[in-house]
Amino acid sequence: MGRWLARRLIVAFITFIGITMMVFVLMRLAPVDPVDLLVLKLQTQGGGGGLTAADIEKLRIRLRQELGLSEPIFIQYLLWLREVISHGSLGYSFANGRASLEVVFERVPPTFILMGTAFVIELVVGVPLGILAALRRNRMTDYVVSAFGLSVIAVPTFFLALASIYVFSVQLRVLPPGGMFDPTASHVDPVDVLRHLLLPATILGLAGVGPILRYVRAAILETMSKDYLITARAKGLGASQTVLRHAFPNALLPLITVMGLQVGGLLAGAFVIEQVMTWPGLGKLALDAIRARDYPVIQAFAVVTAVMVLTGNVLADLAYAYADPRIRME
Amino acid sequence: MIAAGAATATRPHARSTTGPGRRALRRFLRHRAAVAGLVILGILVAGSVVGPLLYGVDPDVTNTAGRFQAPSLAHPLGTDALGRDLFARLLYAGRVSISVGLSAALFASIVGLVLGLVAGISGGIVDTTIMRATDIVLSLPLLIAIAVIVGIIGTGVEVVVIVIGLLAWPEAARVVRAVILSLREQEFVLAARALGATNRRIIRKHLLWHALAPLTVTGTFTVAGALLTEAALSYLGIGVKPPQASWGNMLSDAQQLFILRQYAWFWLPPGLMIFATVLAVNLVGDGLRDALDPKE
Repeated sequence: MGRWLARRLIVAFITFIGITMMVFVLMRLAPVDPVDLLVLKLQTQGGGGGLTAADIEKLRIRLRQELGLSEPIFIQYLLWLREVISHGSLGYSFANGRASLEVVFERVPPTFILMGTAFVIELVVGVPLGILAALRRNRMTDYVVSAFGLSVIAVPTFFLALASIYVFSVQLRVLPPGGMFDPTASHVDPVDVLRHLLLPATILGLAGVGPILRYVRAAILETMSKDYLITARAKGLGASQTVLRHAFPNALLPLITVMGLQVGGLLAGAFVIEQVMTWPGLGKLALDAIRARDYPVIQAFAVVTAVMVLTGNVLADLAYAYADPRIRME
Repeated sequence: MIAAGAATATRPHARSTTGPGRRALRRFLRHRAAVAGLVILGILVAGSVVGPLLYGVDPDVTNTAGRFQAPSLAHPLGTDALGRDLFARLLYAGRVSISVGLSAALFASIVGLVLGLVAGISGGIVDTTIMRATDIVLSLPLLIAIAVIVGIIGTGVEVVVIVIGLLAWPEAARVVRAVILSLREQEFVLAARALGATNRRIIRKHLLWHALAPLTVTGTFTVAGALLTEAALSYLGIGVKPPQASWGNMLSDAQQLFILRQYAWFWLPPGLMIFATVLAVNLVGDGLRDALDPKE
């Protein structure tokens, strides 16, 4: 298992390097030259008043050298990577001058709360419905559940979010339309946060129910046709016992991998929902940064997101290895 | 459904006389949900192609005197905050959204086809490299990756199509590669090779056609994904830019609570259009998958 895990980690690491390369190249493709930005900043912050055009030209050349921009792009990438690793720095926000990684990290907890809750909802709704549909195959229950699965896949999350705000906040007035806290409250009240969390987490969870439900249904149906299940039925075990004790554990195995891949899906969903429901997380920060062209923050967001997705994949692999003795024994 | 089953049962040799295409078509037509999806899709496509011609109202003409009008005979879906006719905008938005979805998926499928073919035929280091790249791209959350790219290099209809195309190919590449790998060592390919056929000829004459059926299936699901991605990007203001209408950006106005509350005709129709289109495309995809699956 040690070797298997090592291989997975190496793959994850190579992927990470690949992603940072893409991010780096993208940043170089940005229509804004970092030297222009620095020169502009210098001029607008005063001090540049006495500079002649020739001075500015000299300054540009010097900045270009100091930033390593005159080197070949591959060397530039290595310089950039060295800066990331040795100083943990991905630049400073154009908006407020703070370290971009710090700005991004602050927003991780709200997104984690949202994603974690949604993840639980996804499983609690998706897995039982999938089993139910498989047990009632080709009957009314199956059709209704499958139609529900297809619908939540097809509905855009932002539309669902808007419709829910309309129903629950505007018409029924039972839940707040957005935000994470009551702005008038003097201190953080967990119940208040839960009330704010309910709508966005449910919508984010529902968005992921479709694939899980369809997956569980197909996996259970496939397992049900295996010989050992026919044996279980033949020895007199009831239908529900057969499914719970024999079919489900085996169908569950690959579900772990599916769940690991869900991290990306949840992040993407949170990116949209945080915007619609003004949840103060990573997604909202990223979109604000994209709109304001705050490149260092976009860059930090991309790297942090990549790390989160890759960690999710590795954790899923670990869980898989833990659950499947065939891999553990290897 | 029962009738079709009975017909094949009474004619056990029917399979040998009909081609695989007809068989697939028959299986698809037996899939009621898929046929329903195809009909809905046909109506939506026809509506967005012909609709704007029949309903000759300019979607971009503003009218300060007629803002926020409720649906009426003159304006079937009312008017927006600038007094533009929302029904006209919905029709034109359909053109944009559907063509972005189709062209992005087509682009992604072509990229996937080429990479899958190259990986499957070459093997070795080329294969490993391409499949590693596939894993990387597949592990990225598509919407976020596109948002980051668009955020850095800027946006527009073409950018959205190209970027979705450049990031949504992994499934297609995997499927094509799997087909090639399963056929590469089969007798008819070995025979062709023994007769001196080049890789290029073997791909073109023998392998390509086998890859097209599964590629059509993944391509259909990619259309659904591309539609949703474009809608989300446009809703967030980083996809199709106003004044050009897309179903996604037509919902942006509803970000303001007073519009959400009082003017349901602003956001309900385009939202339902996205939902109906994506649902229909997915139903067709399910039907195609069942019809083209040789295992059945």
